[in-house]
Amino acid sequence: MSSLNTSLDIALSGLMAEQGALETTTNNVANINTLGYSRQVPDLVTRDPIVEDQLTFGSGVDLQKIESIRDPILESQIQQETQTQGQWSALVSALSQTQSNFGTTASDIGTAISNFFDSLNQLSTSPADLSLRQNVLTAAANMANAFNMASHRLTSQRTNLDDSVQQTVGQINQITTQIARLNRQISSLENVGESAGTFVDQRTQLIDQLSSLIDVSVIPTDNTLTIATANGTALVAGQQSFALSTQLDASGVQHIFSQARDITSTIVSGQLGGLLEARDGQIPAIQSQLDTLASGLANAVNGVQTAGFDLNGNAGPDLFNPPAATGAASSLSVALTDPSGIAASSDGSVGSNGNVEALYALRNQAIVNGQTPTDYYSSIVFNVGNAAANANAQQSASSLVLQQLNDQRSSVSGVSLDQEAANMMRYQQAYAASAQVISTINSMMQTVINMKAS
Amino acid sequence: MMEWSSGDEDRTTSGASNALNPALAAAQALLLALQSSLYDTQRALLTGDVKNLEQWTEKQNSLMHSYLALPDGERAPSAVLAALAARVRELGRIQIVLLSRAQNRHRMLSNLRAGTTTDYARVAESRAAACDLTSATKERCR
Repeated sequence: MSSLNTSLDIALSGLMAEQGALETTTNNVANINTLGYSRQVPDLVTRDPIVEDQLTFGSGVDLQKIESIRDPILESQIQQETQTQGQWSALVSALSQTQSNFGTTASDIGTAISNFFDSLNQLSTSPADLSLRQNVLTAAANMANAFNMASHRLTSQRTNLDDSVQQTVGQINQITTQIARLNRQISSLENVGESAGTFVDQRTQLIDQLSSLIDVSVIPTDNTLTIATANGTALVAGQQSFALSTQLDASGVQHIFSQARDITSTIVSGQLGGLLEARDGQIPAIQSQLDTLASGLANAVNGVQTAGFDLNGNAGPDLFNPPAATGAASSLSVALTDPSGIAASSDGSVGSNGNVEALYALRNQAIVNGQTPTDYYSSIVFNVGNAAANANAQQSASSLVLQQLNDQRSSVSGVSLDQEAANMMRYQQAYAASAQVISTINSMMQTVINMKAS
Repeated sequence: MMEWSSGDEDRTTSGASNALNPALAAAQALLLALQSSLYDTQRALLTGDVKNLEQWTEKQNSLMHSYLALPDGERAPSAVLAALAARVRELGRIQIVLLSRAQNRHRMLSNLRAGTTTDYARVAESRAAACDLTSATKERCR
């Protein structure tokens, strides 16, 4: 048969457990506005009973652990969506900047091409007029300059993206180091049966941040977790982090290495994926299209120009310096400095405008990849605009999905003040009841002591 | 981050603040209704509400037909209409992204449901064959 002391012990266990539960509620309420905090719940379990002869007596309650409420599948979805969001954000930012290069201004390529052909058209009305010839050279120089500037701006943008790649790699390394440290703390606490909820929350937040930077997959293992990129490059394995590094390649852009292995081409998501896609995919493609346009235009003009005769009756020299195989847009320049060198004549006579008309006719000929120069330029502008609009839509859609997932996470892991208020009353009443039991046992003990004394 | 409330603000501000030539008012009203309907579709897509998705998509179809049926003069470019049309286009793009995401999700689920014994090559072949039927279907299958 159990004694009054046993009853006292049982009542005390209730008192302690309800006090712990109340602390959990207090902590939840205190963290209601803490970003990334997951609601905690006390896990109360019955103590092992005491069996005496044929009777079994309960022995009270224990606060076994305090558990944070999380949905691992939801967490994983949020991490994935955060990667997508990071990727499209980087692309939107890069493409908006690129798009600004292709707006309609007085010095944009489209206007410059148009002005160049207009100047040829004017010259055809008076082919010997030196001022009109000078206008053609000026318009040609302006057009070359427009190509040079656009190409230069794209190159600068690529350089800036390259800097961002380096900075992002630095951020990734910082976060993976912190995650490895948290893994160690969580592991040591959980190994001795302690709750590591707060550290797990911090780690979850860091993983969310990491997901916005690079594509990661999270693999939970005993009391810890491993984080790898989508193609399996380890970033964190338990308590150890693996730093990424950057290194310039022959073309002058930073490549990303993990333990001496180039993983640049395998990173496809997160901010880093977006930066790489813009730096190595979108911008070089636009540069290449500009090169095609510049070289197509310059070669066609030079071809017609050299087939005609200048003001002195000599065969026409090149109007543009022959464009390089690569980088034609950045190096396009006018070779001709003497306006009389423009081959307006088709037969060598001073008054002939046959060749300048042939030059003007290039405006409507398919001289750039089967398209007229203006159409080809328009298709570049369209592609840039379309890519930017698409990236914007993807980012907006991703934001909506992420918002919805975060709302779901809040409903699972967030703190509800109503719920906590109800819990608080429940624990308070249970605490008061346990205290009342103790008081009653105390008075029973007093009765026993008084019996012995009398 | 985009929130539902921003859409609701759009719905009211775009309509209230812009006094328009009466001839263009019909076009504006249709575009506003289209915008509102696109927001509703977004919500339906995100919550997997298929019934409402159908309903709003049908409404969008009918609104688009009504808009295209307006005489050219009533769809003449104006700053207000251009801004509204641009917003509708943007919402349309977002809807395409959300729809294609939903389609991928459903494809994944149907593959999961099919289990490991399904001959995926045959499934892909039959799908390709179905997609080859007409150019219109081909476009949809892409």
